[in-house]
Amino acid sequence: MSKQVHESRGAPHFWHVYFLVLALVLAFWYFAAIAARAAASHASFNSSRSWYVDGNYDQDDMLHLGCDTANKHREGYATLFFGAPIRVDDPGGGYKKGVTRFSATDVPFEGDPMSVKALVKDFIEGYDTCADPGEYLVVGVGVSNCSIGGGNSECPGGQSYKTNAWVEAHGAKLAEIIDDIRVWMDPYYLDHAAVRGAWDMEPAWASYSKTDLWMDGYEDGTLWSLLGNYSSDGCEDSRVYNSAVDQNCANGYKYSSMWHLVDQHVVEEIPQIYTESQAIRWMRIEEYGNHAKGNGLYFIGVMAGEGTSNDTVHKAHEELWDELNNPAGHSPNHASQSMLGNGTLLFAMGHGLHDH
Amino acid sequence: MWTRTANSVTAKILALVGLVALTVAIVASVATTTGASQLTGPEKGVILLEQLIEDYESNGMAPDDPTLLNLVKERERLQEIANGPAPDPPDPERVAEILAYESDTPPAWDSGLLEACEGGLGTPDWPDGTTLRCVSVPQDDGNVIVAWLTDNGTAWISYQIHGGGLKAIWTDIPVWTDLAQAEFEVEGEEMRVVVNGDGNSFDTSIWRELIKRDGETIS
Repeated sequence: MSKQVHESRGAPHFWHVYFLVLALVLAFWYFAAIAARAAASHASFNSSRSWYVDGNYDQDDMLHLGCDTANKHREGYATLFFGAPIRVDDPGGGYKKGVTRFSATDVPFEGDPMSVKALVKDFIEGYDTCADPGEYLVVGVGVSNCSIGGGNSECPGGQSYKTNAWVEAHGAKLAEIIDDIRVWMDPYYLDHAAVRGAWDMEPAWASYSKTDLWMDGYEDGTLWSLLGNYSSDGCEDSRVYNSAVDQNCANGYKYSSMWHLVDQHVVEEIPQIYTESQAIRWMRIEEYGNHAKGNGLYFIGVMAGEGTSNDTVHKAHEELWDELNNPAGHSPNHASQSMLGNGTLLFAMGHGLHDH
Repeated sequence: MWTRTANSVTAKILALVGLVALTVAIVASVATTTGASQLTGPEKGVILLEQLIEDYESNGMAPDDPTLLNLVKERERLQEIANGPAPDPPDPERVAEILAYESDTPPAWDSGLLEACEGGLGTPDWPDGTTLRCVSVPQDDGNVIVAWLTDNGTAWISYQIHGGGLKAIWTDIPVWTDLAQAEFEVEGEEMRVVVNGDGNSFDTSIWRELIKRDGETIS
């Protein structure tokens, strides 16, 4: 009898151990999964498409593109680029793609079905209509600094109307557009989208002072930050760490100019990373900020460029991540890049208006 | 007897610890695997704004800076929306209707240029005076591939579908790197276009075009 009791108590004892082992295994699996997710965070990110909006696409085109973007489950950041700041009545100003319809001051486009504002609204409406619950896209409304003054032969500018006042007013005009779109979005479109200005800033395309001036105009006009889709043309790109030396970029720009245009303005930086050397340039500029200014840059994603000679968005993302997080080279207080969770690939429109 | 009692107590403690750990592990793993995907759009927006606010604050932006206050206000607005009723799911009919739309509007600048370019290398003028060089290559399927090169350092590729308007499928290829390439798809077939230039001075440069289809040079 005594033996039988002993045996009957022995069985539960076994299950206690079983429970403990099982729980420990599950707990180990759970925490291992968390660790793996953290380690792989740079390899998993939102990927979207950004677009040049060429001159003849209409509101239905944009509605379609927004819907198609949602159907491809694109999230993160995406910019619609409307080209160089010019007046809509400037017949010679369309040498860069995009905006022959964007005006700073003197040509009204309120109610114009071809206006920037209307096209962006239709893109957002298309995205919102077709997005699954939980999908979310920050839409940038982009212009470039091409031809606003002091640029290379690609962007000579020189039109008499492009005074300092006009350049600043153009920035303010984009700000007004962003504010208007934001008001229009509330409450119907905030479930799936946000809107920002966006700035295709390229050193060779305009002088630093003109570029800075346009940004002042934008910031005086709105409280919304700019998506900084900046190039880094001409910037020194040797892989040197922990350097505070203010190296040169194109067109008289320096690391300090680039740092200023990101850090001293309200910018969410998504730099153009078409090649590895561009990732190195941004690491150098970031390092310059850290060491010379005591404040590094903060990148929220990358923008790759379409084409076989360019990086894919995944490669661009990996390259910038690797440059920014190389433990061998950076100072201990290197800026966190936890928001490098977004990638966008710049496309020309005309692919039949299908995101692909 | 004492040993048996002690063992029994230990076993019960072990069982209790095991059950608690098991419950925590299961709840945590379920939350981990489903939590991220269950975030609503506004909740994702809140996370994004919180990261931005943190970044701006660490950059030294004053707490009463209007931009920062705007972001805080937006965060509250999105939180309010997140706490509200869930949005309607997509209406399949409306989605299908939007996606069925196909633009047939060709870029105006292309239409008049194809004629000037047809038959081989041509030098039509861009409306603003820019000199263009181009080559058009008719395809077996009736499409026409056109490669354009400007004198300001860019190139692009167009194609015409069965006598219709041209569509730009690749724009602004930087050719100052001597070699620009584009890959694109026409009716399911991969095409490859290579445009060579010797730099920015296209007035005197030699450039040639090579259009390949399925690896075979056709022009």
